[in-house]
Parts: sequence; C-alpha cells; structure tokens
Amino acid sequence: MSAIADRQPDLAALRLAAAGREPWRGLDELADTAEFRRFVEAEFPATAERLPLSLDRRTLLKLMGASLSLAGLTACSEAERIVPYVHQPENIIPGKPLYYATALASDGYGIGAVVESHEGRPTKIEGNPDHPASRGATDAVMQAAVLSLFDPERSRAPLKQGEPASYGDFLKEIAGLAGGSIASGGQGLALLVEATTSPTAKAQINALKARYPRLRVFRHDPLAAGSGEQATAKLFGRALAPIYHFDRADVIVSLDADFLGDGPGRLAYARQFADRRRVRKATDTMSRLYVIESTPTITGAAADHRRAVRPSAVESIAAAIKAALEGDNHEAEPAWASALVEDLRGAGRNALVVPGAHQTEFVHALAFAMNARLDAIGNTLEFIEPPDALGTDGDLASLCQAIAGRLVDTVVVLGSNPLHTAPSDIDVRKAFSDLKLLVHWGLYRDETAFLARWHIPAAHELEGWSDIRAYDGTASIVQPLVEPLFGGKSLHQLLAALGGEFNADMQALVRRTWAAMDEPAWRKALRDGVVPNSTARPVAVGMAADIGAGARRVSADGPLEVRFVADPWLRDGRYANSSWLQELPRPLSKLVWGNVALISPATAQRLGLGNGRVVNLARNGRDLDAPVWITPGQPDNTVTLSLGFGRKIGSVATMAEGYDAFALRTADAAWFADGLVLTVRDGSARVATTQHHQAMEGRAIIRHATLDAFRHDPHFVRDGAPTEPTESLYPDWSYDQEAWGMAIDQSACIGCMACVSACQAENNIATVGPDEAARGHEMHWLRIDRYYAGAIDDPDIFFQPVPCMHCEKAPCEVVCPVNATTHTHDGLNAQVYNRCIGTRYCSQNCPYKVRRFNFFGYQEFDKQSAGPQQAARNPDVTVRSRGVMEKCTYCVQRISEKRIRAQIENREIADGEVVTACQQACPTQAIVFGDLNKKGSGVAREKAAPHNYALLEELNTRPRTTYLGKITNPNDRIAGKSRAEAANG
Amino acid sequence: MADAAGIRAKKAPPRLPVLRGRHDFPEISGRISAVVLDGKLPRLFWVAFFVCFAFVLLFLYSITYLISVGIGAIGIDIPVVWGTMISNFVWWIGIGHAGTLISAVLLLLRQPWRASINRFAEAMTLFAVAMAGLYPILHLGRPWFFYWLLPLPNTHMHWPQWRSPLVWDFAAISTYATVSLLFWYMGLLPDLGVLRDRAKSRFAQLFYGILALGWCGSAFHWARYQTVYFLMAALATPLVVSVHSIVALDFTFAITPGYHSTIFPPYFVAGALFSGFAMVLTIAIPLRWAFAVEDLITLRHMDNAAKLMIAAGMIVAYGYTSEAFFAWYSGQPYERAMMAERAVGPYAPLFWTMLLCNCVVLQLLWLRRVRLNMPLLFSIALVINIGMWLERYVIVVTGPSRDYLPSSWGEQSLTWLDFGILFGSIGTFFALVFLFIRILPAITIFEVEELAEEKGGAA
Amino acid sequence: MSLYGIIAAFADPDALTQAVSAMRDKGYRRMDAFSPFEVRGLADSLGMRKTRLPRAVLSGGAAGAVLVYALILYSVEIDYPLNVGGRPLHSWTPFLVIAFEAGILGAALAGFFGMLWANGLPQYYHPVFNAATFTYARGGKFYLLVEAADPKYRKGVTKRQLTRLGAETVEEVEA
Repeated sequence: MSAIADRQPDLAALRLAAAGREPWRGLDELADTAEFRRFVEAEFPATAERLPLSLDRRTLLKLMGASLSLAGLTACSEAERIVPYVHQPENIIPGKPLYYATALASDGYGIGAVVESHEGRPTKIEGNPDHPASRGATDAVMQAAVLSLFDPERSRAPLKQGEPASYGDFLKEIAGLAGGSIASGGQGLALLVEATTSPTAKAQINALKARYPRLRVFRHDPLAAGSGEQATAKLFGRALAPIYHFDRADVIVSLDADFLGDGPGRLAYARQFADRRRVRKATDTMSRLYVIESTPTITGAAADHRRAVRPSAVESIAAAIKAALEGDNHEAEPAWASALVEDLRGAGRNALVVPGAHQTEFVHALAFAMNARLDAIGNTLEFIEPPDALGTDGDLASLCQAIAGRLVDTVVVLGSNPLHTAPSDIDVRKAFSDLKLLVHWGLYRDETAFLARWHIPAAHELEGWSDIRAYDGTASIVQPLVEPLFGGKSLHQLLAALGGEFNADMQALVRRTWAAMDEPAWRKALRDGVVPNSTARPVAVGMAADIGAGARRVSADGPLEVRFVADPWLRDGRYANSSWLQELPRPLSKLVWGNVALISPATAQRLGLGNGRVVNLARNGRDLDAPVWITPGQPDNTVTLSLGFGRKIGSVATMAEGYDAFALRTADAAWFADGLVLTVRDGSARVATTQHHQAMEGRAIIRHATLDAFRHDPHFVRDGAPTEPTESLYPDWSYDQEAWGMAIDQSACIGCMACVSACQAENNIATVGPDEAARGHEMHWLRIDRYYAGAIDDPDIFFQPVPCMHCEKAPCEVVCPVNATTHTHDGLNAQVYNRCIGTRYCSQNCPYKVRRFNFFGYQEFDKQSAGPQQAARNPDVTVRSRGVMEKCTYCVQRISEKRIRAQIENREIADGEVVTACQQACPTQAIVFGDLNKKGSGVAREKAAPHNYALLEELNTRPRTTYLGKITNPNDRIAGKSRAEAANG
Repeated sequence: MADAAGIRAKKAPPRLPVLRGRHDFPEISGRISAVVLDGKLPRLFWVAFFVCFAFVLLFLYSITYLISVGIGAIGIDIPVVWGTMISNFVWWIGIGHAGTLISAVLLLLRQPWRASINRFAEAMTLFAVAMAGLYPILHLGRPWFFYWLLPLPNTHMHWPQWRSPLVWDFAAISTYATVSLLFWYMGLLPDLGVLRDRAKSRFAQLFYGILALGWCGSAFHWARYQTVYFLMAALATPLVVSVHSIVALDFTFAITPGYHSTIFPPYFVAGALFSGFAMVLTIAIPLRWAFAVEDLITLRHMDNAAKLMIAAGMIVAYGYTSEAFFAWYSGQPYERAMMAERAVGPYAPLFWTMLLCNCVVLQLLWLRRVRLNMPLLFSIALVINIGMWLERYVIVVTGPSRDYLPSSWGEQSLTWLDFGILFGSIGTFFALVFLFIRILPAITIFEVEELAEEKGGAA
Repeated sequence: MSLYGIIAAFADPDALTQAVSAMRDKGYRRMDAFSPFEVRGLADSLGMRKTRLPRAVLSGGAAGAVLVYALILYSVEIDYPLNVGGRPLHSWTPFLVIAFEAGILGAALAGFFGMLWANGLPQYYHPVFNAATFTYARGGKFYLLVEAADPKYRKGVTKRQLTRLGAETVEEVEA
C-alpha cells in the first residue's frame, strides 16, 4: 500500500494529530492512527511488528513517553517561507507594515492583490498594479477578505459526525478509502468541486483520475453560466472564453451584460471602459455605451442609452439588431435599434457587442456573430482557452442521479455548499443522506458540513498556498500571509491526501506544479504576484455560418418573469457572515442587511404595492415571501430576486433579514424564467436602506451634460447653477506647506462601492447591525449617493461619492464648543476624537452630512470580547469610542506616514505619493488626491479642468473636495436624451 | 409712593383691584406664613406632590438609562442629530423668562400687581432654568465631559472654542441661573425675617433665622436693599433678553435651512414670554384656588397675564409669518423647499397642531369673559404650553431632516426615552414648586403689606 | 446690663416719619427706624449718606466683562492659536457675547454682596430684638430707636419726647 510505502516519518501529520491536545488525552488517539504506526515503524523499526493492538503496561509507558515528546513537537513548527513584495521578511520593523503580493479568488478566478501586514497580521487588501485583472484596483468583496480571515465563526477543527476529531483520524479513514479505491479504481468515489482555475488543483485532479480511473468529478458552481461555453463550442468547435477590450471600443452594445459589476474581468474592464471615456478638453473623444438589460445594474447606470427589457426579450431584440446589421435596410424595430445599428456600422472594427453571461446560448451566438460581422473579433473581442476548463462528469444534478443510481457512494465536497446553493428541484439532502461517506471541506461549518460525516476546515485564501489564473489566463501564486489560524487545510492538501499523500506540504504541492521555474524565477513570481508570460494567447477562430436559432420565444406581457442575480457582495451566500459586506449598501438600491424583490414602478402601481410590502412569489409549486422594492429602471412584469441571503447559519448571516432565493431557482431556469405568480400578503417587512430620497429636487448637485454640449460649452457646470461667492468676510488663511485636495470624476465613477469598502477597512469603521442601520446610524465615512433623474420607468442614474469636503471655511468647526474639530496646517478638517464631547453641532451644521456619530459603543474595546476580528483593525487608526463624532480624514495616517518618510529623506512629498484608501481601490481611477500647492500635480490638473465644480459652492464653504461634471455621449438620433443637455440636476 | 398709587389708580379699573378687601399687616404676614409654618396643607397638595414625585423617579431612571446606554437611545439619527433634548431645553428656558420679566421688568415699571405673584414667578424661573440646564448636558455624547466647555486647565491643554454658540449658551445659562438665584434670595430676605420671628419650633427659628441673615427691617437696610434690588432688576432685564437671544443664535448661527434666520432672536424672546406666562397661569390658577388666596392673587393678575400672553403670542404669530415669508423672499431653493416640507412633509401634523395651539386658540383671549373664566384660561394656558413645545421641536427637526443634499434627507422617530425624560422633567419641576410652596412664602409678604398700606388698609 | 437705647412703637409709617424728623430737629443723630417694609424717605430723614452701591455694581460689571474678554484674547492669540473654520483668531463679535454675559454676572455679584457688606449682614445679634415690644413680623408696627450713646440722650427727657410724638409704647433696650 502506497500509503505505507513512503517510509519517511510523517512528522507533519503527527504534529497535527497532537496539535493542541494534552498528551494524556492524546495518547490513545495518537497510538492507533495509521501515521503513528508508520511513525513507529520508521523510528523504532524493531518495535514495529511487536506493536500490539491491545497495550500492556510497559508499551503504554513507552507510548506515553513517545506521545509526550510528540506533543512537544507541536511547539516547534517552523514558519512557512513567504516572500515579501518589497521588503525581506527578516527585516520586520514593528509599526512598519510589510506588503505581500498574492491573488484572491473571485468565482474561481484570480484578482491580484497586495496585502498589508502589520507584524504578521493582514489588515488591508490593495490591488496589485502588475496584475491584469486588478491593475491596482480592488472591489468591495476583496476588501472584506481580512475580516473573513479573522471570522471567529470559521470552523476550527475537523468534525466527525459533528464531534471534534483529529485530522489524523480523518487521514486514517482516507487512507482506508484510498486503499480501497486503488483496488476498485475509485469505484463509487466522486469529487464535487467548484469552478477553479488553479493549475495545481487541475493537475492534482487529473492525477487522481489517473490513479482512480473510475473516479467521477462533478462541478457545482451556483453562479456559473454555461451558455457562453456552449455557444463557443457550437460556433468555433471548441469551448472558448471571450476577452473584451473596451479601451479599443468606440461603440459598445451590452446585451444584458453587467461587465462593470460582474465577472472575473470586471475590474480590468471598468478601467479600460473609463480610460476610453475620460474627457478633459473639447478635442477629447469618448466611447458610447448602449445597454439592453433586464434589471438595473451599474453597467446600465453608466450607459449613454439604456433599455430595460424583460430577460426573455433580450434574445429577440438581439436578433432584430443582428438582422438590421446584416440586412440592407437599416430600419430595425424598435426605432432606437436602427440608430444603434447605424452606430455599430460606423464604428466597424471598433464596435463591440457583449452578451450577458447568464443570457441564453443563442444570445451569445448572436453577439459573437455580430462582432464577427463587424470584424471586431481580434480587435475589441478575442477568444482564449477558458482558464477554468476542467473535464467534469457533469454538475450537481448528474451527481445526484449518479448517487440515486448507486454509481456513487462516497462524495468529497470541496468548498461548495450544495445544501444551500442547489437548485430547488434537486433534493441534495436526500441524495447525500444515502451516501456511505460524505466529506466536506470548507471555511464554515455550513449546511453541507452538518450533513457530512467528515468536515475538514479549509485554510483561508490568506492562509494557504495555491495558484490561480485571472480572467485572461494570467497565473498568480497565492501565498499565505499567516499560518492557518484554525488549523485549516488547503484544497491541495486535501486532494493530495486523497491521492495517498498524507503529509503533503502546502507550499511543496504548489511549487511542484511550477517546477519548470527555477528558484529566482519562482521568487520573482511571488514578489510580483504574477507568473511572467502565463497570459493565454488569443486563438484565431472561424465563425460558423449557422449560428442556430433561439430556443425560447418572448413570452407576451402578462405572466411575471423572475430574474435571479447574485447579491453583489454576498455572492451565493458564501460571504454572508461578513458584517462589512452585509452593511455595505448595494450600488443601486442602497439596501443593507437584507434582500428584496425588485419590481418596476408601473408593475407596483398595477399590483397596488408599496415599498416593503410583503408578497408571496410562487413558481412550479415552490414559493417564498419577500418584501418588494420599487426600482426605477426595472423592466415591467419582471421581479428580480437576489441570491445569497436567507442563511440559517452564522451569527452575522442570521442577523440579516431577507429570503433565500435558491428556494425558487430551478436547474432548467437558473437565471431567469417566466410563470412567476405573485400574491400580495398582508403587512410589510422592514427594509433597511441608507438613502431614502432619490431625486435631486432640481438642485445643481450632480452637474452633467452630453459630449456635444461640453464641446460647445466646456464650462457647462456653471450654467444655471448658483454662482459661487467670490469673497468671504474673513481674510484667507495661507497654507504655505501642502494643501491637500481631492477631485472626483463623476464621468468615471461607476458606483461600484469599492471605495466605501476600502475606507471601512482602512479606517476601522464600525458596523452597526441591521437595527441600527435601519435607524440611520450607519457609520460609513464615505458614501455614494445615487440619484434618479428623468422618467421614472427609464431614468438616468447618477452616482456621486461624498467624502468629507474638508472645507477651508468649515461650518462644522466654528460651532464646536471644545475645539474638537479644527484645521491643520495643511488644510485638513481634523477631528480630535478624545477631545469630542458629542454635542453633534458639527453634524447639524454640515451641509454635506458627511459626519458620523457613535450613538452607542459600536466598537469593542475589551480584548476578550472583541475576539479575533480585532486583529483586522488598522493599527494606524484610532478606534472610536461611544459618544464621539467621526468622519473622513483624507486618510491622515497615510499622509503622516509619507510625510515622516519624506522628512527622513529630507525631501518634499512627491505628487501621487500619498494615496487615499478610496483612491487606491477605485477601478476607474475616478478619485485623484494630492497637493494643490504643487504645480502640475495630478489633482491640480484635474481641478483645472473646465467642468470642475464644488458641491454647494454657493455656501462659500470652500471645499477641498471638488467634482468633475458628468459627461455622457448619447446618440442625438435617439430622442429622449436631449433633456440631458447641460441639465444641471 | 403717591406716584405709584397714581399709576395704580390709572392701571387698575376699580372692578379688578390688585388686592381685594382690607387687610392689616399682621393678618397678611400671618396668613402667608401660616402656609409655611403651620404646614396645614390640603390633602390634594400631597396627592399632587406624590404624583409629581413618581415622575421624579421616572426622570432619574431615564437619565440613568440614557447615560449608561448612550445618547442613541433617544430618537436621533443622521441627519437629525438634534432632537427632544434641545427642544426641551429651549422650552424650559422660555418658561423661565416670564418669571424674570414679572419680577424685574414689572418692578422697574412699578407695576403694583406684580407684588403677589412675583415670588413664585421667580421660583418658577429658577426651577425652569434648573431643568433647562440639565438638557444640554444630557444631550452630549459624553455627558461626563461637559465641563470642557469651561475655561479650565485640562489634559488636552485646550480652551473652549469661544466662537461656538454653545459656549455662549453655557455662559448665558449659568449667568442667568446665578442672577435669578441672587435676585430671588434677595427678595426673600425680609420675608425670611418674618418667618424667623413667627416660627414656633426651634428648628424653624434656626432654619429661617440663619437664612434671614439677621434682617431686622432697619430703615438704612431698607434703603440700600431697595437700591440694589432695583439695580438687579435693571440687570436682569437685558440679561433675560440676551439669554434667549443666545439660545436662538444656536439656530441662527447654523447654516442649516430653517435654522439660518435672523428673525429668531426677537421671535424666540417673544416665544419665551409667551410660554412663560402660560406656565405662570398654569401654576397660579390652581395655587390661588387651593390656598384660597384669591383676594391676594386676584382676577386682575390673571387678566393682565392673559393680556401679556396675547401680546407675546401675536408677536410669535408674526414670527411664523415672517419666517415663511423670508424663506420665500430669500429665493433660496433650500429654504423654500424646507418651508414647504414643513407644511406638507412628514412633520406637517406637528406643524399645524403648533399653529392651532399658538395662534388660533390664543385668539379666545381677546374676550374678557374668557380671560376671567379660570378653568377656561387654565386649559388655554396648557394648550399653549404644548403648542410652544411643538414649536421648538418642529424648528429643531425639520431643518436638518430636509437640508441641502436630498440623499441624506431623513426623519427621526422618537423612543420611549424622549418622553420619559420630558415628562420626568415636568414632574420634577412641579415637585420643586410644591416643595417651594411648602417651605418658603409663595407670596411676597412685605410687598403685599406695602400694597395694603398704600391702599390705606393698615389698621 | 448696659443700656443700648430706647425704642418707641408707632402705629403707621406717617407717624414714624414725622417722629423721626421731629427728633432730628431736636438734634438727635444716633437713631434707627424699623419697619416691615420700606418707608420711602425715612432713611434720608434719618440722615443716611447717599449709598455708593450703584458705583460698585457698575465697576463689578466692567471688571467681569474686561477680565473675560482678556482671557479669551489670551487663549486665542497667545496660548493656543488655532485655525478654526478659517475664521480670524480675534473674532471679536462672538467674544463680545460672552463678555456681555460676564459683565452682567459681575455686576449682579457686586450688587448683592455689596448690599450685604454695606448693611453689615449677616448679623446674627442686634440689641433691638431684646425689646419686648419690638417684633419685625407680628406686630406690624413701626419703630424708632434712639441709642443711649446719642449725646443728646437723657433717659426721662427722650422718653417723654417720644411719647409726645405719639409713640404707642416706649421701652428701654438692653445692649
């Protein structure tokens, strides 16, 4: 037996087995595990065969001695070698953070990250500028990784039928299993994996397949949509993944694709998209975006023309456009489509049609065909081998069939949580209960873990070694920031164990995959966070003539359609236990701590529904209750439900209100379906939102104009806006050193909320929970206001990030009776927490309402009760106590750090040296921060733009934070947008 | 004394004398001090007192809860971070003002009818200011640091921020409290002498004897006493105006729509007198009935107080109008929107109730019949008290709830604690009034005697 | 058991006033009168000097205002200059408000304690209380006290003079 074959003592496994146990209790457990027997064989070969199963006194004493010494071994586990991004680990200076490059997984794809580590505590995630999927940016979910790392509710020990057990026992059982499988060729053994792009994982799985020919591998990935693969397979003969180049596109048509907010390439795409639309002077050009979507998304909000259509209608519209594009008569129906087609033709190679990942195979086919027709393939659109390609024997449904057919009796669930995320027409519980052995590997003891015979805690992505590919195939090495806090195991260790390799070392398993790299290359890859030239080459494709036909037909208005979306933060519910993400307002609805059923105003009117009114939604005999939320821009007769809520496990997750949308989801209609029956219930549910009023009330808050209007009047932000007072009663203060300021480009802001999440992580901002949030006590220093303008059914949607304005004539400071908020020499509006007594006059007098108050003691100061999550706090930022006011500080801790460095090096602070947390996270670089006194600094240049204006400038508060008016590029052939001409607010 | 009598003759129509019937000095001092010394108080008095005491307990409980849990326990939020604490504060301060006005201004104007009501009016001022003084402290996020508003050496080596109206408040309120106390105690001195000499029990003799500071009614003492008493009155008058103007500046100073209005100081002062006289009537009417002193506190007093109420009330009504007018006239979209929201927005019911109480009901007082009908006058006074509280609350919350950026618009929803603290303070206020009536002469003996003497009533 | 003086009780203020002026005409200087409320003009006819209390009040007010304004000025200009909302360090307008309140406080304190000091209060012993007929409160009478120390004082004579002036009772007062 190979398990016994490798002779060397399995110290690692033994160490683990003895980990944290008192030697006395450890004794018998240790004594009869497979490794112990092997250990003894190796260490005391003589005694090996004499080792009896029933112990006599003398052996007992021997073993006691042995186990004692083993217990000691736990103390001297040598640290993993991890390579710092900029510094060597050995020169750790207390108080000076180190930065390590790694990559975080998003739906199985990698996004490069640089993690800030204070004395071994990862405290902040930043984007990796060298990584194609990040380019220095992060999203809200990545920011929360440090919080989930320290989540005290992560499973802390292997569980055998719910009882804490030793990993050794597990390995023993696996060893038995492996032994059996070798004989049977893996008969009855099945793996249930998530989408993964990890080369190591793939290699291991293939090795396992080789080892156990009859091993079955199934893939369950509730948020994956296969229609793209199928379409490409049909069109190009093999499954391919599209790569878009929005920076090359002049005209973009999105067929229900939320490329800015969803998908593994979203950060890179957002960056390209914004770069192509950055207008500073009249000669600049920008791309034009048409979005046809079935529920409001931030991509739709960024569109120049947005059409809300029922999900099932996208197909026919796409077909109509394609017909018009290929036909000679450009007159397409509906009318606006013909203008769109004109544009597409005009753009030619620089046009791009993007299909929505969840849309039908035919929509993908249509989109690719149109791109081919426009000769865009190879320019704005390329195809690569799908990075997550993995030969599987089907999905969860087929697994359950296999179990029912007695073909599978042992399932190892790797990561996913099918009991919560399975389509409602698949009874996973029943299927899994018939199993002989169910093993679950995951971060939490979730629904599946409760059912499993064995639950093995997973190592967090900041704890384990791995590797992962980005949306464009670029590979990164995932290196741990800390030793596994709760003894978690990496995916690779588990796969290795299945292969009979029980003492596999996390790093070694990954290194093996990249054996081709020599040590310097390996270290460089670790340091840079990317494996050089691992990016997938685009493959040349020939378009098939016949692109098939639409399977589904548009259902006429009448029966409601349901559209499923993943919650932008909780995804399929895996992040539901993160209070940061629960309390982060959703980009458009601004809802926190719960999900709702989105309906259009017209539909609400027809059904006589108001916000928060509970309705029952039924389909195919399954139903759920949800509060409705009237959403401008939502297509009529379409109800959008979001996945990820309604969890029954996890103290944070269960705090949230909301329903479990998986209850209504079926395998055949994973993303949208018709035949939804809505019945109104009595009473309504509390829905917590952070923005109650949606209109600008005709105030010049977000000033916007079309590109033409801008060219013809670059100073459009002044039109119709209240004039800015030129002088003040008071003499101006001079700021002879730095004068920090910020400029926010509203044309670039896509409202993705990354900045808000980054601010929360950087500044130790407390979460307050659903009840407090519903009372308007939320604490975010930076908020993104979302306004609707125009027709309520087809509104223009605007985003405006609102941090502290750091007014030079700050109204808040004058009214503070105790000098708790005053101005610094470099023009910051400082808040002195320990000086504040909480009169709240400052907030009362802040026209921007950017100040936040600790109405209760939101932060835990007692070390004991604070728990592990206090480790995620930023040591450079004060944790605020009850009764004090707080607000955006322009990340003063970062400014001071850079100033100190500059003073040590006896130089001025360079432009762009100080980067605020929000600025760093922003995928579209909408935020620019810097020194206004420095000639030609980035921020000075932005503020010099003709459409730069200050919010509420007529109040003469002299804000240091200013905005660039939003510039859109609508097609003047399409009516309805003309009202946007230089319309301020 | 002749001219004073002359004024009285002009001011007082014979039908409504300041003092009814003939009294000699022993009888006056005897009757008034009997309330205190013999302590024969109607059962109703004690019932009322213990009802109030229950509210005192509620007050203590609410405060304890508030300080141990945090200010978030009352219905404040972002954007409306000020709430009942501030409106209660302004309300109480306003109530205090009528006392000072009666005792000081009417003294300067030599209004004889003040004599029999100024004592408890001043007491009312004192207790009202005591209540008011609590709120700015309870309102704080960290009440235990309220003393940082004082220019004391502290760990932060900081000074107060003198530009903040809250610091002015602190100065004004503490000055006002001190001056009112001195003025009140000074007025008490001669009467304490009376109590000392009339007291039977040794304890009472010592108690009042010590407080009387050995007053013996010497002509020299009287002369200096009156000089300073008048000077103090002269000081109290600008003070009382400044205090409420400063309270008004808390709002005027802010740029929040609905706060930022120069009309506030005068209109707040008028409002203060308005609510103050309402409270005077609320106390005086039951008092004179319960202690059968209708001949000392006569219909004349009630009538005059009612008239002053109309006067003040009409100024307040004018204040409302001009506030609305200038919101429109300013042409500022923010002010206009806020004013519109006040009338039709979430707080509209409060707003209209306020107008009903303070402007409509008030008009009844034009009728002499109403002014002389004590039960009716009493209920009108109550209505006005409520109306004035609503006014302050509406001013405090509507501005911030509809300020510059619609994205942050929002309302606050009151919790039990808001009411616990408000009603607790009202109960405490009345409990103090009862205690005062029990241990100190509620009517100024020496001035009533003087009155009687001028009236030629001395036997 | 020395003699402090003699005290005469009168029925009403007018009688007292007349008696006082009469006695002063007779050359008596060390006299004092007692009444349950102020009898206007009585002090003058007793020959009281004009009181300086008003000046005390004025100076008290001035002192309060100036001191506080000086304190504020010191704190913002010298001890801890700070940029608050871009306002000038010496924002005199707000400072005046506080100075005003301080002025009132100073004046009131000066007035109250000045009065006590001038009247020699608190004073917990006064011989007049030894007179059986004297009571400040109960009798409601008006009294004239002639001190034995007065040069013109003659035991019988003064007594007769007072009785002639309409005193209801005349009594000797022990010191």
